[in-house]
Amino acid sequence: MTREQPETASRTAYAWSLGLVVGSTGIALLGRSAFHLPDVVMLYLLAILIASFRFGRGPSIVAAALSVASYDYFFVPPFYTFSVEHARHMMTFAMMFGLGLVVSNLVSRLRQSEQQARVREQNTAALYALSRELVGLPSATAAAVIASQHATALFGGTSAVLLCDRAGNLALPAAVDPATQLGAAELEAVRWANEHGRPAGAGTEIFPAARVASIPLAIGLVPLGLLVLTDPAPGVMDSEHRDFLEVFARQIAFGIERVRLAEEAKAATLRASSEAMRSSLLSAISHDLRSPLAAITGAATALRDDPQRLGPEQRAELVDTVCTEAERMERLIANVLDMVRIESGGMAPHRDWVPLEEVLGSALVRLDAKLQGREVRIDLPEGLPLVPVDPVLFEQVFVNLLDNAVKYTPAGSPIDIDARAADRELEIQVADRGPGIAPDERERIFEKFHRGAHAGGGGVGLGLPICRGIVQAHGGTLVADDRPGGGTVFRIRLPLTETPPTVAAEAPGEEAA
Amino acid sequence: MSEPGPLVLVVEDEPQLRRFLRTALGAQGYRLVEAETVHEALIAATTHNPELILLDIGLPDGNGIELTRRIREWSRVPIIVISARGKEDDKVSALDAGADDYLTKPFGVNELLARIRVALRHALSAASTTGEPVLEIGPLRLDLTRREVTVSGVEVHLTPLEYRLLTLLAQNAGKVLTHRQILKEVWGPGSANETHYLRVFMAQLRRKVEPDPARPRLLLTEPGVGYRMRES
Repeated sequence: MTREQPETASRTAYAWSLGLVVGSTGIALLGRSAFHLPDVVMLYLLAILIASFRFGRGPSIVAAALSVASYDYFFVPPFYTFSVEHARHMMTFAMMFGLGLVVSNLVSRLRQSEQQARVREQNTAALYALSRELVGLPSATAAAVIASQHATALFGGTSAVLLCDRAGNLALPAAVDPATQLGAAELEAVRWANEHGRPAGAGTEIFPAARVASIPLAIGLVPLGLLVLTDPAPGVMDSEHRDFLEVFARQIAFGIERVRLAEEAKAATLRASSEAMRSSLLSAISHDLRSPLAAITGAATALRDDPQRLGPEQRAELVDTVCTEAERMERLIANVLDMVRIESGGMAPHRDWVPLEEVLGSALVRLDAKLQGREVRIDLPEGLPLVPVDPVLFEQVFVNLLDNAVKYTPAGSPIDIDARAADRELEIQVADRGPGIAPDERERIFEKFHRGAHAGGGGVGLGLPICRGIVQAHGGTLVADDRPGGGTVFRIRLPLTETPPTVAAEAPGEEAA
Repeated sequence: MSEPGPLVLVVEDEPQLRRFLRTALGAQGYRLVEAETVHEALIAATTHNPELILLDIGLPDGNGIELTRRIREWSRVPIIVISARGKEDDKVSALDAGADDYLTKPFGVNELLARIRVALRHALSAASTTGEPVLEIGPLRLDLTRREVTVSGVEVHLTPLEYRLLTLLAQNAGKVLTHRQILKEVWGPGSANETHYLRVFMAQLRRKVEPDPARPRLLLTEPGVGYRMRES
């Protein structure tokens, strides 16, 4: 919608009309000897035509009247009087004036329809721009922000789109200019419009004194929110623009509805995938929890029911079974819980600036027993910056990767860990000298419940997916690759976007001990 | 048992875990009082005056962290909290609220007994104001009067902050200290959130006193919680 040029022509337009008539009179007077009366009439008609095309109705009528008067005064005998000798001149005056009126009418109608077409075109363009920008937004709030920007550009003042929740209750302002403090009358208008589903506030019959006009946004009978225009340009709520406003509001409603539907669809997909997750979890739990449980039950009942017949060695072995199988169950449950947390997006890293050696150190100490007989070589460059990671989660990453290496590579083969900080990126590698992983397996090992081709047993296929989930939660990547000279290398890449803090060394010279 | 063992208040709502604690602690000569709720625990703590409290953080009628805070208003009795894995924030809150240590479920009996022993010992040494002038932990030896640190007999030179960090942890050997507690003690109350300071100094200290700094055996990391010096 555009605000139309005012129909009443300005003073300048009238002055121009006067000028045109004066000009025509001047030309006619100068060429008096050569011109016949009809030529002079034509000259005046030209002036009237120009006035009506250029300046509109009023000025063209003034031009017609002035032309008639000038023609009579200067060119119709007796000259320099307004009296007329012959009746036929009266006819010419009437024709001149009549023609002026008809032409100006025609022209003004033409101009009006042209202007309407232009307004329609602009309105269509505005609606199109709005609907185009309302596509593919991440949230209803984003749609509200976009819509309010468009409304502000079109209607002046400040605009906001307030959203309703699913129950139809008006939510907090989604995009209100903090400078626009709404008063009591404004809030009343907003509330009324929301409750009754009809426009209220400035420019309407309801709360006309309010500074805001609020237009309900709804699809059918479902209220989605309100378009609130604060101090809009005058005339926005007039009946001629109301239609456009309603179409505009409906377009916003469609946009919000579309985003909401997309959100719901996404939630449904998430539910479906967590459904799938649940079923694979169930199968994993039923199988992988039952086997250690069977071992524990067997060993424990043997110890309880038949203690006399067991020798001390057998008894020790059964007790050992109970302990190791219980530990296995604990690991499995921990893994499943971690995986669920990653899947549900509940794994928000508590990042801290940590020296990598600390995280690696605690992982190595935790795996002390398993790493017996293994050479773990660690190569961290001097001056490696602090890394922004969650130390608990990253310890888990290293524990899982090392555990994996122990499980899938020959006893006694070495494990190498190195790291380097490149431009805005940290790369950490955990490499083994095992049999390697076939190229088509290198991605599949990160799938849930996928077990390696030559699995030694014990795992459920969650260790690596958990590692990847944690690294991804940190904005990084984890891949498996072939290691030159044999074996596999697991490569973690972490973005280093922030500058790590530096810790100033203590002033040297004074020694405490 | 010639003399009655220390009295332990067990605050735990799960009967199986209480049964295990009863058996395991009873076999070691500890006497037990049991409570299942925060309410019962408060009553038991005032009437029985236990020498140690074993407290599960998740209780049906409230939270072990809050209970710790309330007990700390009037008592210095050692408190060991029991928490689930993955609840590092809870552990830190409980420790900062005044708990002495924590155990992560599931835990073995050795770990349980070790923690109880350490907590009781620290309660005792806190009561007698004279601290040990010489601390020995594995290959590490700290002579507090002469401000001398040796590892396997070889003298180690530490900066003042490193020395303060090491003595703090050594004096609390076996006990976990949160990042916040260490920062407040060593760097002062204004630095309680500068954990990266602590981590960097800890790495430096390990390079000086750990036989294999890549696999620390003396200065242990408690991920997400703090540090613990190995028990002497």
